[in-house]
Amino acid sequence: MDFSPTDDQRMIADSFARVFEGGGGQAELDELGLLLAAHPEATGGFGAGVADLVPALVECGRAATQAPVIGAAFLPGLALTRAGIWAEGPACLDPEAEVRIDDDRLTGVLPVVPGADVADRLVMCLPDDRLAVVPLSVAEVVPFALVDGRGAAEVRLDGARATITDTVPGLTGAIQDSAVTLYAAEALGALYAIREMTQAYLKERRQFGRPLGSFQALQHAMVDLYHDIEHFQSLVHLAARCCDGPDVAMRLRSVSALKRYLGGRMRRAAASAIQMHGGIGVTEEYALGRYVKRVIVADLLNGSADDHGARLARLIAEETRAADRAAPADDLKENVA
Amino acid sequence: MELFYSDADLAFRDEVRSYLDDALPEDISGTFFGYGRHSWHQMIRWHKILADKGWVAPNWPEDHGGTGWSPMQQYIFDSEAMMAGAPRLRPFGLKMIGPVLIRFGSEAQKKRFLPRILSADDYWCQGFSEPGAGSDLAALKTRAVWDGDAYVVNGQKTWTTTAQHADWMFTLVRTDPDAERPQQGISMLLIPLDSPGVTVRPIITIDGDHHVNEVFLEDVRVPADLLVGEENRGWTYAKYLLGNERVSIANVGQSKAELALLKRLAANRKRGNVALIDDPVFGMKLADLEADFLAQEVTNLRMLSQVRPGQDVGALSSFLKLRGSEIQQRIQELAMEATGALAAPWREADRPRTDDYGMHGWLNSRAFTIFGGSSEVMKNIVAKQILGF
Repeated sequence: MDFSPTDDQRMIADSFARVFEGGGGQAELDELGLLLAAHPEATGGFGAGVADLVPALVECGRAATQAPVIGAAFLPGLALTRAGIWAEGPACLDPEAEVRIDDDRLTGVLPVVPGADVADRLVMCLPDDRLAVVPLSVAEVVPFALVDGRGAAEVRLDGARATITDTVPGLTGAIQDSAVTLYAAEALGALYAIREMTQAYLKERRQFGRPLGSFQALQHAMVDLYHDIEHFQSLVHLAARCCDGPDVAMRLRSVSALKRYLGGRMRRAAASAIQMHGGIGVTEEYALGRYVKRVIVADLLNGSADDHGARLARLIAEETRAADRAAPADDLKENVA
Repeated sequence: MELFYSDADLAFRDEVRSYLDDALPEDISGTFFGYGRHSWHQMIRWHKILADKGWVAPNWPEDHGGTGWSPMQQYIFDSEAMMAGAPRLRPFGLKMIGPVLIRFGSEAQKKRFLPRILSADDYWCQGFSEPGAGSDLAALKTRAVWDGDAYVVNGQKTWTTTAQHADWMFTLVRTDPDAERPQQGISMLLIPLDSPGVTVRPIITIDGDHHVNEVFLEDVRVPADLLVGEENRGWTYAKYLLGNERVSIANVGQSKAELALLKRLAANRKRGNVALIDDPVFGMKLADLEADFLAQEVTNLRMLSQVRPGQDVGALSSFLKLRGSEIQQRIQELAMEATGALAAPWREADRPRTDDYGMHGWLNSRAFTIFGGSSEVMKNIVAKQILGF
């Protein structure tokens, strides 16, 4: 099994990395057309799928970029491509919009929409697998910064007239899972940075006359962190391929495992990195915090780790029952003697 | 992981499935699906069936009786066999001393031992640990002194798994007590367990079973042709062997099968009025285990795909063993929880199999994070060799 990037994936990722190395951000990415990576080729994009975007997002995470790469570029790009509609101008997306729909008029408050501070249009996945698009000029937009510095906004719709697509079977679930996976891929890049910083710090920082990395307690904490990130990396690649593939059960399984991991082991890994640094790790000035916050934002958006744990548990129960029907059943026993 | 199977892999999987369907005896698969544990005799029967098919040593080079399968094919075979309820073959001959002899043994040793490992005519055990040399294996004291025509071996080995069934023991002995570093004075000898001076005594473990033994060696004479490789180079061979052992302990295929069995158990137990598998608290524990297993499965495949046959897996094996052993323990832990109070009685003969499921497994699994190198030692190795501390 080989998850190394294809030439095309590497090319996109390298372009992102070069922009960030040169201190660039949204303007430079936009100029090079990189924010259109997930858009159809006919409209100047690369037609990239979720797995194609992973290496680029890892670069975004490593750079902790403030550019709204997921919220106002990749995610709406994937959704619009899938729904087969496209129009000029930057869009943002809410994968789980809770709105009231009266014909083509939408009413509701979307409290946290990443990228809505810079977009012209808002794309919403509706529960019935339709896509709704409204110009943000007809909405009330209250911009703010997320904890990791990226822009977002609260969007208030009061009978806003939307363009609503026909039903695209499976659309909403697929985009929601893609959203989880894209943010997780970016968190993976941030976690690489966290790992490298912590490893380097343990080697150079001395206390009690010796490097921190010579203490076994810290070595073992670092091994746990290393191990968790390797496992998370495997789940990111697995989920990304499942988002692009036709096997829905496997997508649900891998994406929920990923989100559960992100909100569990990865949140703890980020916290452990701060702990291993000591006091410097809790200062605003030190770069570690930027990466930690990026991990936390990915954890908080698009459904909680508990939501996904519960979803995974339901899937396991359904699959087990289906497999069990094919096999002779045990006696159902009360679990109390 | 079928997502990653090529068309050739899918065809191979179908071939393996139809073979298992025909060849795996029903009493053996029935033991597994009846929540029982395979006996040593069932394991040997299955070993011999696989040997007839030529599939018993997928990890060996083809010219020594291996299958020439890719890492993915080995994984497919292993997980299909485990999911079908086959016993896990013991690693001592196939995964431990076999590969060492292939890489470091003499031509005569290869000719003499390898075919009999494949056929299970010889059964092997591992003489490494001693009462004073556990995690600190290089502190071993069993002495071998050259005496004209043979080594004379004196000492004591312990935790020797299935020595009660074994014909041979590959044994680490100290041949140079004055070497600068303790690792430098160690050799590897192949000792027939019917030699005069060998005494095997059972150690009963916490689960009440007889898996392991003490082996006493008193003036045991071992001829020169039973020395592996060169004298005082035994530590090198042992490290190579331990790498293979640790990868085999990580055993994703077995975890996959046991996890599926655990789910079936949970679907057939009740908590209050609902099946245990629908209980939200138990369900969340299962979900976390599933997530960790999935991550381990993909990580193992990702990493082992990069290892060439016969290549020293080094610190990677410590890395894979750490999580693999923990996942197996957690499967047993949830199986014990699922069985609940019915797992508590210590019944020997009269118990229905399902009623003590989990408890013995949980107790037995405590050893998984200890044998083959404790988790703490695995972390030391990863810290030093992968992280550079």
